[in-house]
Amino acid sequence: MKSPLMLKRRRQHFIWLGAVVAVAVIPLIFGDGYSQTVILTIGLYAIFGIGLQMTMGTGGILNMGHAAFIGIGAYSSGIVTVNGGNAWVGMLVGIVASGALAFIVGLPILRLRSLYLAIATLCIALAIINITGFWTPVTGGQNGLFGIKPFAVGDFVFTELPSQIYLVWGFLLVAVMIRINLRYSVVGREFEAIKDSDLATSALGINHGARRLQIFVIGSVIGAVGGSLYSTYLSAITPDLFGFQLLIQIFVLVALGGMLSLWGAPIGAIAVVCLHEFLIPAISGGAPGPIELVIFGAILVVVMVFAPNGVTDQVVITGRQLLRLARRKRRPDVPAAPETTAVSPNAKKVAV
Amino acid sequence: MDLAFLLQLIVTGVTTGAIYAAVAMGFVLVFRVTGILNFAQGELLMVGGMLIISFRGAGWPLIAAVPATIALVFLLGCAIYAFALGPAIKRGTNISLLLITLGLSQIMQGLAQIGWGSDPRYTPDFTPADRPLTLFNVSVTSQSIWIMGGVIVALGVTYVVLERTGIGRALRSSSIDPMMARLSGINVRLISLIAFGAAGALAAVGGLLLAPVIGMTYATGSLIGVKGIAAAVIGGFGSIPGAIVGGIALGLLESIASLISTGLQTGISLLAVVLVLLILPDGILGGRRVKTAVGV
Repeated sequence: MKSPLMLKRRRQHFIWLGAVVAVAVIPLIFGDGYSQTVILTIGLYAIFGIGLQMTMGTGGILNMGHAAFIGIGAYSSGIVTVNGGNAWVGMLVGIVASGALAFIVGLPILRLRSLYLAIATLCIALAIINITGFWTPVTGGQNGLFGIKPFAVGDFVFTELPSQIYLVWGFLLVAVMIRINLRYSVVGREFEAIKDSDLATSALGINHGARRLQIFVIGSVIGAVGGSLYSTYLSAITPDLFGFQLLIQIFVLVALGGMLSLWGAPIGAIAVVCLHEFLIPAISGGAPGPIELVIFGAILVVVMVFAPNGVTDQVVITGRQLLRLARRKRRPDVPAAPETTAVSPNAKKVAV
Repeated sequence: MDLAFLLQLIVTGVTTGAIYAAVAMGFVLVFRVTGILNFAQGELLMVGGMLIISFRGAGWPLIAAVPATIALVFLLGCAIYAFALGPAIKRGTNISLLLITLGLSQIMQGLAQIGWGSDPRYTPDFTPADRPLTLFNVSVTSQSIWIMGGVIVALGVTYVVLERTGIGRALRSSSIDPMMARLSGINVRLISLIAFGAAGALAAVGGLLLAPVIGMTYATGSLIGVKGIAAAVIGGFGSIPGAIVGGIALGLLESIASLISTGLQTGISLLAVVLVLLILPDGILGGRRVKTAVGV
């Protein structure tokens, strides 16, 4: 059988070219400030989403603390720049802090069973938000942190919207690249294998714990990078920004974009931000408020009932099934080979 | 620290702990029978509180308002299973089922905000008294006696139902081994439905007892829900006596943490929960692991 991987690799160059061109051109097409703000927010949410997609989809880790990790990135950037530091140093501090926290927290808790893990990460996240709100001398407390400085390269400062869009979307492309490379690397394939069979992969010597810890740290760090970009864009942050609402939005994003789909996070981000910015104000006639809770909640419920892996993944799966059906009909003389799943070499092949 | 002060802390702690215990008990019931962690449990409590405020506001006496609230939230709990989780449970993964309950909690919060507004709502104490009761220099409000008594009654009823009735036996056997239960003719789906309803009823009891003490808002439920889960975890998730012990322990922990800082109360107690999870994953009561429908 021809390896599907090679095909994908070659096709990828074109996708990349298209993505880069799109990122370069879109801010030029949508010239006005509001559209550009929306585009920038989409980029930010896509970065948040990729982090969570990796921990949840690839790692199978029920991480309910993602918003707090984003907050750690944001606050690290904020605290460093408010105290006179460089924004890049701030981002680095955020990466180290969130990575270290994810490592320390993940080392013991990743051995917990999956639902315990959800509880533990949620408790840690709420505790972090709570402590941030009351550690006033450092974090500014409930009133928030003001005067966060933007990124700068040499004399060029990313203050204007188009330049900030390029910065955020640049980071997003890097994040997508990391995700794709991780998917097709040895580690990524090990993850696919772990998902298929726990037992077989441990017998092959794949260290589940180490892999899960890795993906947890990477996902959290990507979240923190997004958070750092977020805070330098907003220039003022409060602990509430990184609470339950953000978490739910990212969950909706991942639900719409799919848990596994490589380009799913940007797609989900477009959907979530457009819902938040356009559709929900149109329905409620102004401020989002309660309608948003209901709509996002309903989306989560409906998507997860009918497509547990997320919308895009489900579309891909259904599309493949339809294609197979169509092919079968076109050549009735050739009996279609049933899709088989071998349980073990000795077991009977089972038609699906 | 003198004795009276310590006793006062304990009374405060046990009062909040009783509410957590009621919520935690609901979590445990649902979790043992279906293997689902129901994040909407806190919202069921909120709905219970809101309903009793509305009923009493409409002039209903307690004797009518309390059963009506409990019955309505029982039905709401059943509806959650019947319309959202039941259809999803077959194909669902841990992640998708958890996200469904999260989504449900958001829907309930949103609808509550639309229906009841976003300002806190109040209702008078069940038995209004001019001043709190004083025993050994410890003041106990009448409502906190109601809370402790109400939760004890609710847990007692749950215990009797679980131990002495056919439904209780079916619930227990489904939680021990769902496959065997199904083989011996128990309708596990119906039992799951009842478990969700019972969890709703327990949350409603917590909510209606708590309503006079705090101003209920649409957002009250989410934090109490998380603390209820935390209480269940402290007691060893899946153990019913553990849920009660865990709830009381968490309440006491919070009232002690309030000595350090009232603002950081939540943070400190939640971090303590994480520590318990790390050191004693089976809870402070220890004991065996519990099998669930979806091997978790």
